[in-house]
Amino acid sequence: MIKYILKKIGYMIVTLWVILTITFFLMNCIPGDPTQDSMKVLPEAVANNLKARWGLDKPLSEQYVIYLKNLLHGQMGESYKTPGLTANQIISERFPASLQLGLQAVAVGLILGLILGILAALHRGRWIDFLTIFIAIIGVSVPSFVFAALLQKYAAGSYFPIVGWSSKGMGIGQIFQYTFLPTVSASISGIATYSRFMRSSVLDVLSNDYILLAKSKGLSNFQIVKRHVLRNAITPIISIVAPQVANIVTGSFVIERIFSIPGLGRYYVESVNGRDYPMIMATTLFFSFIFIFCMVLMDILYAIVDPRVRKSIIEGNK
Amino acid sequence: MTEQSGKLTKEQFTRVGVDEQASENLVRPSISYWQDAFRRLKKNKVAMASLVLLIAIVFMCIFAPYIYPHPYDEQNIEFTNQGPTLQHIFGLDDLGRDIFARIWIGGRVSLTIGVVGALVSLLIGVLYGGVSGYMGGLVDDIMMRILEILSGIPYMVMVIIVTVFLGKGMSSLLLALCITSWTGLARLVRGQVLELKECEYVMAAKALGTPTLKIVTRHLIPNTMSIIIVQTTFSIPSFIFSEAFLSFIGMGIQPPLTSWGAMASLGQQQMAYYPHELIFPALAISVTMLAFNLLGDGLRDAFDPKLRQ
Amino acid sequence: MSNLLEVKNLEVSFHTYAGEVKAVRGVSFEAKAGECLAIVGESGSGKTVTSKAVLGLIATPPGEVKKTSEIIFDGQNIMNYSEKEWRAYRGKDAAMIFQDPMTSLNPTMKVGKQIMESILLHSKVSKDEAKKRALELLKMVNIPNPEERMNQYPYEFSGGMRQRVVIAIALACNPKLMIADEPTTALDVTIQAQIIDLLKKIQKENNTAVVMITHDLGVVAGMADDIIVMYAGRIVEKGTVYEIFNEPKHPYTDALLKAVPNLKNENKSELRIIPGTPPDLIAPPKGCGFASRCQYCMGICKEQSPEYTRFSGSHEAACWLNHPMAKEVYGIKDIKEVFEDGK
Repeated sequence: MIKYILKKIGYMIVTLWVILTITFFLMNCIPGDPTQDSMKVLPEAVANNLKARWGLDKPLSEQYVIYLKNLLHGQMGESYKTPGLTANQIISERFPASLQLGLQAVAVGLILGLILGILAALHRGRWIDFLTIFIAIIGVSVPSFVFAALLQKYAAGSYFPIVGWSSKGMGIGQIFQYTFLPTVSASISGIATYSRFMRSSVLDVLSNDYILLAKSKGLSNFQIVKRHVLRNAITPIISIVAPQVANIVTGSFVIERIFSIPGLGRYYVESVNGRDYPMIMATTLFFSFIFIFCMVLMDILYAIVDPRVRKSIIEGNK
Repeated sequence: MTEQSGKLTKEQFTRVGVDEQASENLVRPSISYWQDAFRRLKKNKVAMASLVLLIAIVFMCIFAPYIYPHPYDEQNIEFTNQGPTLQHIFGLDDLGRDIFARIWIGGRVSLTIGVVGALVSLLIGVLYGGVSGYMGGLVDDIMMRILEILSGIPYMVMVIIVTVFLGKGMSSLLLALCITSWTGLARLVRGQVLELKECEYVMAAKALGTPTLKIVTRHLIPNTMSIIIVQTTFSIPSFIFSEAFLSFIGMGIQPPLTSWGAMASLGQQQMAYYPHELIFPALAISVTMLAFNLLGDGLRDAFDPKLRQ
Repeated sequence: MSNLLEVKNLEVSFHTYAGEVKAVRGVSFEAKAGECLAIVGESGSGKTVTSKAVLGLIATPPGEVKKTSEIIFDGQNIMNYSEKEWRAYRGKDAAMIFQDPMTSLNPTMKVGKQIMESILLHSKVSKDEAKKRALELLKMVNIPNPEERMNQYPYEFSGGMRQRVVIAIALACNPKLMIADEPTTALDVTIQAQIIDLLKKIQKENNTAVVMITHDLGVVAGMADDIIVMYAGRIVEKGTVYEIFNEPKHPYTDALLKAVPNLKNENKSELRIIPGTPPDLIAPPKGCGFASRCQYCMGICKEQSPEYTRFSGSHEAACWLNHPMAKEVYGIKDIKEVFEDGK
C-alpha cells in the first residue's frame, strides 16, 4: 500500500517536472523580454539592471537550473509587474478564497448530488426521479456563468451581496452571506453530474443478488441502503468525481470573475493578460500541483473504500 | 382449473403433434446489431427530436447570414442595447449589433470548435488507445506512462501555456483542448481492445489464421465503434462548453470574431439592465448542449446490448 | 406430519411496458418440516418467482402478487403481514440461498460481519455472542480456519466457499424454512455434491423444511422427498420422488427425464431434447401451456386447460392424456403406454 502511494507520488513529481520544463522553455521562447514589454521605453542602463536582477543576462540553461534550485527551496519567483512582490506572497494571499470556494462547491455538490441520486434510484419512476433527471440535464446543459449571472440579477438588493467575498474576522453568518451565491453557482454542475452517476450506480447495485440476500435477512430498506448499497455505489463514482473535484478546486475562474472574488484564478488570467511570466509560471505550477494532488488523493481513497482494488494494488506490487 | 363443458368429443382428442412452424415462430427474426441500434434510436423520440434540432441549428449557422437582412457587424449606434423588436428579433447589443445575426456567426465558431475538437481527439484517442492495447507489453507500458503524465495536466493550464505562446484565438484554443481531451478516449479504447483481445471469438479468429488486418477491421473496429460514437457525441458538447468558459473569461475567441461564449461574456456585463444580451447566447449554448447530451443518451441506450429486447 | 408452508393459488404478475407478464398462474403446494420439496422447471417457468413470493421478495412495482393468493406459514396467512412482520419473518423463520454465490455476497463487507448481521437483527445478543455464533456457523458449513476467514472479504473465497457462507447466513437464526434457489448451478460438479450433502445434513439436524429450486433432476433424485414440476407459470405435475421418476404422468415430465444423461438410458447414442421455446406469458395460451411443444398434442390441448388428475394421495398431473376419453380413443390404460410405445 505504501509502495503504491509512493509510486503515485513519483508520477506526480514527474508530471510536475514535465509541466515545469515545458512551460519554462516555452515562455523563454517568446521573443522580447519584460524590459521591452512595458509601455515606456526604459533607458538601457535601467534595462540591464533589471535583467541582472531577474537573472535574464545568464544563458537559458543556467536560468533553468537556478529556477529549479529556487523552486526546491520553495521560492517561486518574483513578479515582473509589481517588483518586490513574490509569487509565494501572492499565492498565499489569493489562494485561500479559491480553495474555500472550491471546497464549498464540491461539498455542496457532492452532498446534494449523492442524496438526489440515491433518492432517485430508490424511487425510480416517481417524481423525485424525474426531478433528478431534470436537474441533471439542465445542470450539464446550462453553463455555470449563466446561473451565476441570473442569481446575481435576481438576488440584487436581497440579503445576499452580489459581489465580494468573506474576509478575515467575519462571523460564520457573514461568511455564509457572502459565499452563498458563488457557492451555489459553482456547485450546480457538480450536483447534476454526481446525481446522474450516483443514480445509475445505485440502480446497478440494487440489481445485485446481495441486495436480495440482505432483504431476505429481514433488514429494512433503510438498513439495506446504509449497510449494503452506499459503499458499493460510491466506489465507482470516485473515479468519475476525481477529475471533477480537481477541476473545480483549481478552476472556478468564471465564478471568481462574476462575483469579483479575489481568488487565484482571476489573478492567473490577469497575469496572462499582463504577460507577467514569473507569475504565470508560478501559478501554472501551483494549479498543476493542486490538480495532481487531488487526483492522487482520490486514487488512494479508492483503494481504501474498495477492498478488491486494495488487493490488486498489493498483488501488483509483489 | 377452467370450467369444463363436460361434453368432450372424441375428435378433440385427435393427435396433432408438434406444429414445427408455430413453436419456431417464437424465435425473433434476426437483425444485425447496427440495424437493431438504429431501429431503437428511431423509436427514441427525445433523441430524434434532438437530432432534428441540431440539424436545424447547423442549417441556421450556415445559411442564416444569407437569409437574415441584418449583417452581424452592422452597427445601429442610435439603438444600442435595444430589446427584442420585430426588426431585430433578439435585440441589439451594446454596440448596436443585431444579436440574432451574431448568434449564428458565433455558432459557426462554437460548433466548429466542438466538431473539429471532437474529431481530432477521436482520431488521436482511437489510434493511441488502439495501438497501445493491441501491441501490449512494453509498448503498452510506455504509452500508458506517457498518457498518465499528460492526463495530469489540467486543461486550464494547458490552455494558458498555449495561449501565452501562440496568442489568444481559435487555433490556440483548439490546440490546447485537443492536447488534453483525447486521453480519456484513448484509455477507453485501450480497455476495450484489451478486453476484446481476450474474447474467445477473437482468439478463435487468430487460431484459424485470420490475418491481423482482418481481425482489426472485422472484429476490433466494429466492436469498439459504438463506444467511440457515443463518446464522441458527448465530447462535442464538452468542447463547446470549454470554449464558452474560456471565451467568457477572455482567454478564448477575440473580437472581431465572436462565439457564444464571447457573446455571453459581453452580455453578462450588461446583465443588470439588458438581460437579453446574455439570455440569447446562453440559450444558444444551453439548447445545443441539451440536444447533444440527449442525443448521446439516446445513442448509448441504442447501442447498449444489455438493454436489447 | 402437518404442513409448515401451504401455498394456495399463488398468482404473480409483472407489469412491463409490453404488458402484464403472468409469471405464476395459480400455483398451490405444501412443504413439511424436515422434508425437502423440489420445484423443477426450465428458466422462465416461474419457479424462482414462486420462491421469492414466499419470502415476500417480489419488488412491487413492477411485480404484483394477486390478492387472492394465500401463503400460510405455521398456520398464519403471511400475505396479510405488515412490512414489520415480514421483516421479522424473513431471515428468522424463513431464509433463502441464491443461485450465484459470486454475486450474492456484498463485496465490500467482511464475511463475518455479513453473517453476524442477521444474528444481531433477530436475536437480542451482544456482538461477542453473535461473533461466537458466526464462528460456529462457519464451522458447521465446513469452512477451514473460520477465525481467520471471518475477517476476510468475499473476493478471497472460492465459489464453493462463498456458497457455504451464504448457507451459513441462511442458517444464522435456525429458520424453519429454507429456500434454495438453484444452489449448485454455478458450481463445479464436485463442489455441487458437497453442497448438497451439506444441505441434507442441515435439513436432518435442524428439522428444517427445504424448498429446493432446480432444473437439475440429478440433484433432485438424491435430495428431495416431493417434486413439483412447473411449466409456463403452472404446476404440471406433482408427486413423490418415486412417483415422478418412475411413473411420470405428464409429457413434459417425461421429456425432462429423457433429457437427463443416464447410464441406464436405452438410447445411449443421443439425449432427447425438447424442441421449441416456452410460450409468451404476456398472452398465455388458452389451453395447455406445453401444447405447442408436445409431441402428443391433441386438438383439445390447445382449446382448454387440462384439469388435475389424481393418481394417489400425493400424485397429480394436468394433462388431457389422462382423461378417460383419451384413454378410450387410443385404447390405453395408462399414459405410460403413450410414452413408451409412442401410441
